[in-house]
Amino acid sequence: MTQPTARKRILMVDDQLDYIQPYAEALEDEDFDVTLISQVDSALEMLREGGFDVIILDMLMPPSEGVHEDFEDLDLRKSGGWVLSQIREDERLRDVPIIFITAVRDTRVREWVEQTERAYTGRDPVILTKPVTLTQLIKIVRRVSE
Amino acid sequence: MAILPGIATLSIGYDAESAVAMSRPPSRFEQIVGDTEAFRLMLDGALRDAGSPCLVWLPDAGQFLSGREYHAALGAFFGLVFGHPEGERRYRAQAAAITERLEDSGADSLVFACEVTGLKMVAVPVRVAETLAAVLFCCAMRPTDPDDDRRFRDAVRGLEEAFGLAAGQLHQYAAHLPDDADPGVERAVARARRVIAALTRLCADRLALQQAQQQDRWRLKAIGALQVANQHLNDLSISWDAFWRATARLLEDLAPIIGAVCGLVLVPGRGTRRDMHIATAVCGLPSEQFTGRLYRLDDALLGVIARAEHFHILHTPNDDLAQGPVRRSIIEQAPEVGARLGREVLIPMFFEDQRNGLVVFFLSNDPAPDSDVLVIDSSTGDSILAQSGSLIGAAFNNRQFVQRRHQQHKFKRAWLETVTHQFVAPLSAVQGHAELLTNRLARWENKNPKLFANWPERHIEQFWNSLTAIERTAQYASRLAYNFSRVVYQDKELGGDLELTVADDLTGELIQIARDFQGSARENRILKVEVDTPSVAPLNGRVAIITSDDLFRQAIGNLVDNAVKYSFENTAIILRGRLEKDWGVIEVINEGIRLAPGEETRIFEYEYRTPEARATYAPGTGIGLSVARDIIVQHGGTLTARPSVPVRKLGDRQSWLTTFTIRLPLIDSDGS
Repeated sequence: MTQPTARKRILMVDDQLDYIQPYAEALEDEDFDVTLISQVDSALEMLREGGFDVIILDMLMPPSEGVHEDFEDLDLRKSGGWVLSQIREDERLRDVPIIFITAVRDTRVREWVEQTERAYTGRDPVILTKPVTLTQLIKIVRRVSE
Repeated sequence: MAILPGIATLSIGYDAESAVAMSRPPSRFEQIVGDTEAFRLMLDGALRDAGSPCLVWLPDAGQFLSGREYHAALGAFFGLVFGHPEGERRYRAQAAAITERLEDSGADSLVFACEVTGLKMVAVPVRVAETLAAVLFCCAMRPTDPDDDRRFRDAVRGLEEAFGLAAGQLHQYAAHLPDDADPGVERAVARARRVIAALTRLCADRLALQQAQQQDRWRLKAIGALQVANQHLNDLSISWDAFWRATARLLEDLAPIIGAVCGLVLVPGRGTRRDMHIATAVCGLPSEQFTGRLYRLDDALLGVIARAEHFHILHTPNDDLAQGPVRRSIIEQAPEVGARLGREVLIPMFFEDQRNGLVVFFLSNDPAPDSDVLVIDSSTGDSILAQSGSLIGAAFNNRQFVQRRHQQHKFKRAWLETVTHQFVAPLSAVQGHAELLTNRLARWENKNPKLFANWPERHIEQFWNSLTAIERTAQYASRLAYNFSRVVYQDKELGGDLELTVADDLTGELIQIARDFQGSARENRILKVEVDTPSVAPLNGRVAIITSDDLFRQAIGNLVDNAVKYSFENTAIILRGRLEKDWGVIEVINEGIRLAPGEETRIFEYEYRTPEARATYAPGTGIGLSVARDIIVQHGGTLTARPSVPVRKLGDRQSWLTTFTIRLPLIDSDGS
């Protein structure tokens, strides 16, 4: 059995790891335990194993093969919105805070994410639009992980 | 000749005022003749030579027309008696019976006599196109036989007593009757027939004139409809919805004019097998006649068919249409209209000598024989229909052109968005790396003061300056790229369709925007971003916003974002609404740094930031307000700011209230 740790565990999912590296490092500096991953499927596996306190998701990611047929819309298939629904479907993960980071304000994806999060949790999703400073991200991670 | 015996009472007349008072519908004769008074004047000439008092009775209305010279005498005479209700009822019954007999028997005349007065009248049918249009009554008055004359005078006196008239009063009217009236019925009939000839000719001429005038009116109406459609030609290009709505309206206007059940527009399809089938079987014309293009039925127009009310027939170039899928489609989707479908008129849609579609008018299978519709022939109506085809063809071509241009622009916009994304993401990463490096080096330097021991002092300073510059420049550049994508949105040329939608729930829209900024507001220790809902409620359903690409949300969002950046801690940002004459007003109010007089217009300039804003070091590019203003202008509104007013001291700082005001045009309750 895993012993509970004082450090909050964060899973960051982004297909461009170079881009989120500084955020991860900054969070590490603030004593968060950060795991970086670029593959959606692997990220879901890790999440289901449990133990993460916060999830940081890129809103636009390449589709995971063979698992998105239920999404007719190509843009939605590419979105972190699909990952969100997979996470929220799992009751154990329903209350884990998710922070979305995006560089473009894609209306449909954003609306889809908002509707999904509200449907499962009754809350509005946390969506950050780039550029996001390290300080801003740290503040928000602290807030949602409390 | 038949004689109606035994009419025991005096025949009773009828006047125009009573007809008006009865509010009866126009008779068939009146529908044909139109201006009955003008017609009566024309009859005067024909009746003047008749030699006997004459009345013309219109059988389907009971209205009399008479020769002008006799009208006063006879009208007054009958008018005296007309006040007697029973007399009127009996007279009407007699007149109806006479008309019925004339219609049924086909007799060329009837004679009836009043036993009381000795008055004899000859009823002669006036037929126009075999239809009983009127009945001419010629009176054979004042019998010459002394006994008859005495009886006549006695009867008149009796009537005077019955109606309370002074002795001789009624006789006075009778005295106006011509003394030389031919007492013989046969003579009266002969005179009546002379009048009939003139009357029939007048009726026929009048009918022809009326029909010609009606044709002119329809033609003018058709031209009016075309002119209206022509004025809106550019509007037709806005969207396919607008195109279909406008063409449907034109078809609706034209259908009753030419007597069509309904009209359809068949336009080029995408070349599918179904389109090919329709092109060859439905249109009944080889597709090569349309320069190789194919056609499809737009089902939306079936709604127009269902509302159509007018019917008639003209001509058709091809009977094969009878079994076509268009017809089947109409019958299935609009059975009531389908039941009336007759033959078709096909009108090619032209644009610059190129056929690009087909207008089809379906004509009724049960045309009314006397319907007044514009007769389409090569010299008149065809030109109007040809103009319709050209107009719709030009509009269709325009719409296609605009659509292609929009598609190109949408592609450009998508490409620009992709490029923007590709810039924002790495620039954001550069900024993050620089910030990380700065933070870590600062910490290490604190822990290890000798970290830069071997560096020249000025190099150390430059190093820190460079790191800070990289971070800020990257942040600025990524924000610039992000805002650039916003600028692309508000460019209508690039943005494509920017249709206004009535904001039935403006309150909800503003609440959503406020909610979007709660997070960043909290970060800046701002108490709340709040919508004053009671003040906004009157605007719901009264203003229209551009929902595509979230443009309205972006405009308000830029203002709120601006407020968040420049508000002081522990203050609130309020979104308020109100009605102001023809405007719906939305205000974004915050408490923070000052917007000095003179700056209230400059802040909307591209890339302009006030000195106060720059002094806060809050990240900004000076584009947000400019974009917001342009978006509001595209709503047909205005965005203005007022110089700040002082509110209070917050710590050692003076706080200022700043208000940004959006005015959007109010929509009438009918949506216009």
